[in-house]
Amino acid sequence: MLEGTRALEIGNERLDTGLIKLRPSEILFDSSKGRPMDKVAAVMNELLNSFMAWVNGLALLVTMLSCRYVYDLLENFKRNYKIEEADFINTRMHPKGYTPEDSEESQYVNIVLRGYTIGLIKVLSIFLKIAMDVLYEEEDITTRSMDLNYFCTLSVEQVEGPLDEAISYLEKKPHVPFQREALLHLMLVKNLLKLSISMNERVDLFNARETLDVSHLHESVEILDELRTYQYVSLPESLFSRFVQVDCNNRHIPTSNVTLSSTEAIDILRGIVTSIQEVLLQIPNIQNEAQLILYLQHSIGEEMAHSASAIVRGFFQLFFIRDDKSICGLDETVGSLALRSMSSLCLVANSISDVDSWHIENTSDALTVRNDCFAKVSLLFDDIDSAFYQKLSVYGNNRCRQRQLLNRNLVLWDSLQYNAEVVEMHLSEYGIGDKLIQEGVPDQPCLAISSYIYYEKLCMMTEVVLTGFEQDTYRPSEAHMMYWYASELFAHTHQHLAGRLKEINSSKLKWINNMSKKIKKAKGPKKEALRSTQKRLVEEAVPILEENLAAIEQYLVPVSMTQYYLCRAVSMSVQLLEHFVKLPDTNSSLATPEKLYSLRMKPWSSIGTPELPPYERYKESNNIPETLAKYEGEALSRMLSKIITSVETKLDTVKKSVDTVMDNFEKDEKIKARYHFDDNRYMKKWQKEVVSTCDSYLKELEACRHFTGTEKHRLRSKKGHSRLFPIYYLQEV
Amino acid sequence: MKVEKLIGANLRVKVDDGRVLDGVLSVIDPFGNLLLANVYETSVDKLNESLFHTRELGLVSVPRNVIKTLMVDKKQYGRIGENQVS
Repeated sequence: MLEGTRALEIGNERLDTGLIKLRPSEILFDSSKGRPMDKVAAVMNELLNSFMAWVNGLALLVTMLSCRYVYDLLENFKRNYKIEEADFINTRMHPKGYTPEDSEESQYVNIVLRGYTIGLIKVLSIFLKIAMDVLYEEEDITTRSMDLNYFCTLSVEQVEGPLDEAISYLEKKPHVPFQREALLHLMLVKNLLKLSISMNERVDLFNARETLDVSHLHESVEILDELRTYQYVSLPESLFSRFVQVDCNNRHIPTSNVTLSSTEAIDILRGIVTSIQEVLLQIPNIQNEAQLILYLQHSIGEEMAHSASAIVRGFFQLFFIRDDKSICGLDETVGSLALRSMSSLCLVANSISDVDSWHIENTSDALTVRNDCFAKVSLLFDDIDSAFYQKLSVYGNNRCRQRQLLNRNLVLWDSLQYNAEVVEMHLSEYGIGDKLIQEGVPDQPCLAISSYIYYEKLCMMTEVVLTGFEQDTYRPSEAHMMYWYASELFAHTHQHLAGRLKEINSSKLKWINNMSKKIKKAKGPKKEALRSTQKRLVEEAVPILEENLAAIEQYLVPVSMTQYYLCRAVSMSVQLLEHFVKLPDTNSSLATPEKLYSLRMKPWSSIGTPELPPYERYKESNNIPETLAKYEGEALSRMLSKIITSVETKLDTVKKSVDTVMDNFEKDEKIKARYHFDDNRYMKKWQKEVVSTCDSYLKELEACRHFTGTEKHRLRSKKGHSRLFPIYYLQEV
Repeated sequence: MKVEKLIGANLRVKVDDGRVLDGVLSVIDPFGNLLLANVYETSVDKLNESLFHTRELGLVSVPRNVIKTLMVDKKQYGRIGENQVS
């Protein structure tokens, strides 16, 4: 269908590339003809601009390929896929055996410019590979290749031959005008080619002793800064044309060529290089899994997804998770990272993951049961690996895709939670798995794996709900509802952290401490075995459990509480603002508010736990309109003022709560060791965003106090201090 | 012979500006406009007029008014004819 709509219509100038009018100079442009060095440098610069226009999202056909040097060279290469044959001599224009004249200008073109063009095309091919492997076609970048081969079959070493030849040729001509500019362009391409090496660099994650070599990127930035200062002469006439659209295999309609200014192109390339440099420098500094997740969520998933080029995101994805599912190419894998993640929350020294500690109870056929349990646990861990892989793969995508993928992951994690619960309950029947130790309560299975999965799922759910604001998914009249739902999810998160997750860790600590009693009672080799187990657990598990408890109590619980307060306060603020608006879209709606609620919440209705709050609960929690409807005149104003004051108090509570989190974060050494990364930038940013959001809403509420009730308003949103919290405000009609 | 019989046949269409299109007939409408798939366009090479240049265009619609001549592969035409008789 899509193909059909793109059918080329013969005889229609807008759709038929065969009818593109070209000047004779554009058709008969001779790429092999000698040119002075000033022209050659200008071509190099324009080719770079054109290349960056492609990186910026345009098609090759209207950028790089519109340059006759590139097209002729690739057409020649296509014949035998040999680098020696990739030259500028157009065999359709020149007789067989034709060789370019033996002049200096001819060498500038056929040695210098050829080397540069070949090198730049190879850089293009590296970018193309990144794009085709992990980026989205036409959304992130356009990879239509027009059936040409961009040296994808050649190694970087093969391509470096002509490039090095060009560099050494130019180095011998220091006095030629524009030699410096041309040489810098060649050096830039040579450095960029090393990106393919950087992409395959290996990092011993969490134990890196050395930083990665980024000298080529550093040098590239220096070259780009110098290139920014140069001016070039005009380009050879008709060099860039639409000839390629008329001549090559082309299933597309005619389009105008596009290029960028040198400044824009240099800015884009500089951005790419510095972002990649940042990735390569930061990853070895990450000390643990918690820091890695913070880095992925904030630096990659948020900052890079917003500001960096799609190529950088693609580079990161390929660099971070390799084909063999290893992380950064060495010992760490997706599976080991998943285990670390579980361990840093609740799965510490759990007997479920230690098969040797299994003592099968309540059965006569222990071996069969053991094998059956082992198979179930293995399968569960495989499923967790896959789900964790999906989670890690999200961050390198653009923000819209991130939300889509997270949404898809929710279904996966939801069914994973169910499976985990079934497996853990099954295992507990045979005495496998840890128990919760609570006074007065008989031993209950702690369900550490499903608790971890539930926590991850809740985090994903809140992220999906809140990123809906960033992507303008909700109507203004739905905003309070969605913030309320987010607050409900944060309440669940808080409850889960402060309840079950805290309990799992403290129970394990108690269990380890209680081992001393068992040791006293035991005799002989059993006593020794218990003693050595306790020693091992005290050395290995206890520090992690204490860290987990500190993280939950001092960091995760206060953060989830703050987020709960924030979402609740913002929801109430928006609902209050709605009071001053006549909302035609809700008031005159043909559907009942309950149906509208169900429709809006439909995407979350398929999640098993936590269940979607029923409409009645939503109405109960969001009763500002009902409350205000009971009053009129002076009484209404008094009630309004009372509600405004209560919302203002809630916003102030949020600000205080943020300060508490930050205090804990700075004071507690255990938390610092685990989460302090990149000068605590993420937390500082979070604090600033939350406080500024509260201040903005306090300002909006203050304005409400002065309304007389005769004004007409519309509810609008503007960019806020946080992408997830736009500021809703009243606009006078 | 009914024109629908030609659907799926390899056609060679010469259009009024001299280009020749080779492709598989996918659709024909009541006005004689054609939709050809897997089309290769052959024209006089702009770089060297003594040569022909061929390129792939993919899916192409050819309005009736630009069609000069239309040819069907001889063997295929024969087969279509036989099918019709039987």
